[in-house]
Amino acid sequence: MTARFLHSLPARNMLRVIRQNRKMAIVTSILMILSGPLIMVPIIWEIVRESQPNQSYSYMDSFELYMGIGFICLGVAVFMGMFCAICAFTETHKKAQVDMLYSLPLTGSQRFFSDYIGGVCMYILPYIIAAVLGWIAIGIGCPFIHTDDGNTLLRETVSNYAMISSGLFVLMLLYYTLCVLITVCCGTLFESIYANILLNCLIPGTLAGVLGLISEHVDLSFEYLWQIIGFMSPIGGLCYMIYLLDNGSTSVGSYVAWDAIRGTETHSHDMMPNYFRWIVILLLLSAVLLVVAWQLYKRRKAEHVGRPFVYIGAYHVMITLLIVLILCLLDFDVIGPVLLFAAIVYFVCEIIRKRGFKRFWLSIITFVVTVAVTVGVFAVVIKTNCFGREYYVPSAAVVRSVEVESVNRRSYDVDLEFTDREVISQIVDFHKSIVQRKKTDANPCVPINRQLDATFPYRLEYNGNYYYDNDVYTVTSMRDERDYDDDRNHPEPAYGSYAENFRYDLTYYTLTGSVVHRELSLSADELCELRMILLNSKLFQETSAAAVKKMLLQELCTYDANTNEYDFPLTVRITTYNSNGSQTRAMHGSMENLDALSTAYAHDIQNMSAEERLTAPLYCTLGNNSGSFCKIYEGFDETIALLESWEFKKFTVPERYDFVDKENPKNAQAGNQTLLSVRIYAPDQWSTDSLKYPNSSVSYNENTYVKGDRDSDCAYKDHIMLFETVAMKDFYPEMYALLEAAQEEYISEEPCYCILVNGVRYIIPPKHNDLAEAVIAKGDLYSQDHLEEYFNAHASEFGYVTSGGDDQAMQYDDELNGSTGYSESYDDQEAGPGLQITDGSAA
Amino acid sequence: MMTLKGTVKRFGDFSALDGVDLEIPSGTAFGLLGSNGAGKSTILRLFSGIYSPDGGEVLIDGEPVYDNVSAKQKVFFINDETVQFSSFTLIELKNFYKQFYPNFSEEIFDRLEKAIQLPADKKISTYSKGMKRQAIVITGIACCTPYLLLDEAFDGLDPTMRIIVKRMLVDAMCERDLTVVISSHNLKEINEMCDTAALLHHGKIIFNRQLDSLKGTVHKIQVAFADKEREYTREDFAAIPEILHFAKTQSIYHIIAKGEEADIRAALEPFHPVVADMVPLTLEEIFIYELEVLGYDSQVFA
Repeated sequence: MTARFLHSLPARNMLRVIRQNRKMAIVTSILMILSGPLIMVPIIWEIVRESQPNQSYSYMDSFELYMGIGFICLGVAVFMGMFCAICAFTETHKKAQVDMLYSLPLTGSQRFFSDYIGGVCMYILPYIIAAVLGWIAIGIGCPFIHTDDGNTLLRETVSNYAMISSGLFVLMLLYYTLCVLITVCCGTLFESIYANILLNCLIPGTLAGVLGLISEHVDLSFEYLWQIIGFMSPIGGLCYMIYLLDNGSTSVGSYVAWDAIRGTETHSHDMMPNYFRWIVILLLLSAVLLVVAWQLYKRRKAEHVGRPFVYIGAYHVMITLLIVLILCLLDFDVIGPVLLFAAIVYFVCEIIRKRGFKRFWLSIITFVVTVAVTVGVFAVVIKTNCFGREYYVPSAAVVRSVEVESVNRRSYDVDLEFTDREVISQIVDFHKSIVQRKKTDANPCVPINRQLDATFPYRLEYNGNYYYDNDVYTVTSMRDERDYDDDRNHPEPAYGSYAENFRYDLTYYTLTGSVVHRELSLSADELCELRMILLNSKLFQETSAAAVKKMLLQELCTYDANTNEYDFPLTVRITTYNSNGSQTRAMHGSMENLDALSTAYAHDIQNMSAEERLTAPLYCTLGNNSGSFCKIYEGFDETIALLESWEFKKFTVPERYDFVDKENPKNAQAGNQTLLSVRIYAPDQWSTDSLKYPNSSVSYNENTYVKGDRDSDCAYKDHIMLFETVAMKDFYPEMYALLEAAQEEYISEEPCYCILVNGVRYIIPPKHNDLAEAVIAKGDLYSQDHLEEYFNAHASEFGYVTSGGDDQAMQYDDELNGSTGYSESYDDQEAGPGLQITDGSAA
Repeated sequence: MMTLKGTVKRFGDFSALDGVDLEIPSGTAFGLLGSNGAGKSTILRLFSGIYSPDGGEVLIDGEPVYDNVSAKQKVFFINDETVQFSSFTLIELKNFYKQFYPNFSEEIFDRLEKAIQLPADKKISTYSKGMKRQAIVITGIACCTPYLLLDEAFDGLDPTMRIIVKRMLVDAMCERDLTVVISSHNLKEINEMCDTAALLHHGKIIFNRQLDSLKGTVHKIQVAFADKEREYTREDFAAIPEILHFAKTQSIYHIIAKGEEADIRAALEPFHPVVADMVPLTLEEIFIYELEVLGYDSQVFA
């Protein structure tokens, strides 16, 4: 059959395509084939090395660079698909070739498909070889991976590689076919190249622009709408594939981090159907594009070569997408510049297409109509709230399950799919109340950050180096620096640019099989309402407890794939950590101990109300530095009792904020100095809204957060200070007390002080308002005279109350490292018999 | 037989062929003459299946050509470009066409290739214009198709090579029933090569005749009359079937006329010519005078 095909006339033309473009085929093949091993061999090597720490596998030098080169090769080779399409169909734009190719004894269809397959052979075949080489690399590496971590990594690597390699194959096919279609629509090489580049970018770009514009005004799920892009174009598809790979699991927020439940099946089942559906749709889309390209090719005539656009529709699609994309920037403030820019782009394209000014009046009319229609459609969609879709909430009775997912991706995310009828009913009611508020209130969603920003009257200033220079701490009023209108009122629109919403996606899966997606833009109050529902759900509690156990198993034990059991060492270490790793204690290794801890955690989660959880101070964080952790709050009585029986303590201030701690000299490593940047945000005394303060681990952009800010004015900004506990307490006890009282998370009806510590916001519960006020008040006291007085009195402590560059830091390190053998003695202490807690079967 | 039946071909607003009827019998060496843009290349491209007609029919041995593999396998078209498949070597070019044309003759190809001694292992892009032309001509002849179409076939060839190529074509026509259609502005070559020719102008066929009969029906007459005082006009000779050109130099009248020699002489007799020489016309002169009648006159630029 193959031999017969190869002797057919179309196959001969296909070989002609390859032979005629062999240089490009060779370059593409080399790049493509190199990319497979260059990417996969370093990955597998690292998995093997990490899975066998006892073996002396050498570290692969610069393996990231090899991978980087591999990705560059792959990227360039994938991009070459456009040129493969253009070169395979030379008869569409090269006049000199038209006669020879059209006079060959082939029908139009035979010529089209043989050209198409010729291009596929140049473009896709090398990729398949590269993918196979990648699989071979995985196959060779498999026998050398033994540990649980290794298996997990390998499983993830294999499944991700399978998804990526097959997804990329489909995307390349779609990309190539789209390029063929565009090439068939063009008549010159120049137009073919620029139309291919523009259309490939504009299809996803314009869709994203339009959806972004709509989602700014209408609370539909942008994430859901965004998926449309993934089904419409190769670049969009690539983004969607990355989204699918990145979105295959779930989160229970700040209580247990995502990494801890990686590998659980909680949500992974959602990913594969989406993936396969996506693959099938893209294949169908490729087939449709191929048929369209074929039909257009059959209808185009030899004499069309040389025309800028043989099918003018392609040009109109391109230029319309371009204009719509530009108009997506449309805002009343910038309407003039946007329209002018759109007009310039449009008319330049028209002049290029028409090779002059022929019938230019028609271009002007077309432009005006395009702009009018686009703006009109935008206006209709926004004014009608996307034809009323925004306000539609399905009845709880028809909802099979509802998936809640945070768009902002903060640490307090709770991303779960709820099937409990009660929870579904509560979520539906909540959603309806949001819709109702939106219908009745012109401005229902007042983001908390906006309020906080508007109410920040003071700034604690730190000017320069207090040890060597003339340093002054002052507290200055921010009010004078703010933009006021003539009536001394805050100009409302000015806040919009740095206001922030809390955005949640709700996905309802109904009994009829339909799916309803909505993206909610929530105020702080509304967010707290939603979180009350979610945190009180049994699913959240169960998932959290299961995730803690999973995390502990993953972090502490070795999984034996042969026996399908976890192998406990005699002594396992549990760490509570800040980023420097603070407390490590040993316990006897056994499943019972892990069960006890996870059971205690589950009990605590269930016994506390959501409100209690949202106001409790942090006790410690359990886990490691690599992203797997769960947070223990005061009020988690059983868990804390268990931890304290293992001699854990509550986090101190230095542990929470990563100060250099005299008790733990490991923290004083060179280059690990503490940058302490503190800002205090006073509560909004004149706000009529009730405020609730959820926590945030998002690093704020300080320069945009404080209007009229200058770098030199920022409190402690860009300056290294090495604080240690004693000095902190002595030097600035008010600040120490304030930091001790600050909570990551706190809800309250009362306005609260907030502080930003190194860009992370903490809430000061109202009962500690005096501490915040003390810090603000003390700011006035720190003049040069006070500092000198302080330093004269504490001259002996200057060794560790220092500041500035590396010289001082290194000196400090040397002193600490030279003075103790702390690390060794600490490790010895860990394994001491007094720290073994319970007996276990592994003993 | 190659046939155009009421064939129309338009390029936008421009009508390249306007209802052309043409029959080229097998075994003919057919020349296509015409002004620039008359439609000669268009006819060749229609016969080779490159263009589809906008009206009428284009047939080869009774079959439509466009999108028809079997009809297209009977035709080999050599256009006036010299850049096609320039990344191939001569051998690759031969192998490529050999796959498409089942009657391809290696023996003919080798013989022709030896005769002109082209570097077979070098890429065609390194060839000169003339060498490229030779390469495609010998490939076309070796394809052994019943119909060989040449558009400006002798462009770029030196005089010796022109003779060689012509001999190749003549040999091929002698060896088999090859039909050659040549489009050229070089009327001398058409005159030498072709037995039949058609003249096109503005998408229409002005004449389509065997060259020998064509030459026999157009005459250049140099005539002087006894009455030297009288000024004769074109209208005085209305009895001559068709006068293409009429001019006077001193007492000699130069007349280009269509028709039988005897008829022309009879028409002149009443005016008592002192001298009446009938000079045979070259094809170039026929071309010029025919188109002059249609307003395609070099004098417009004088």
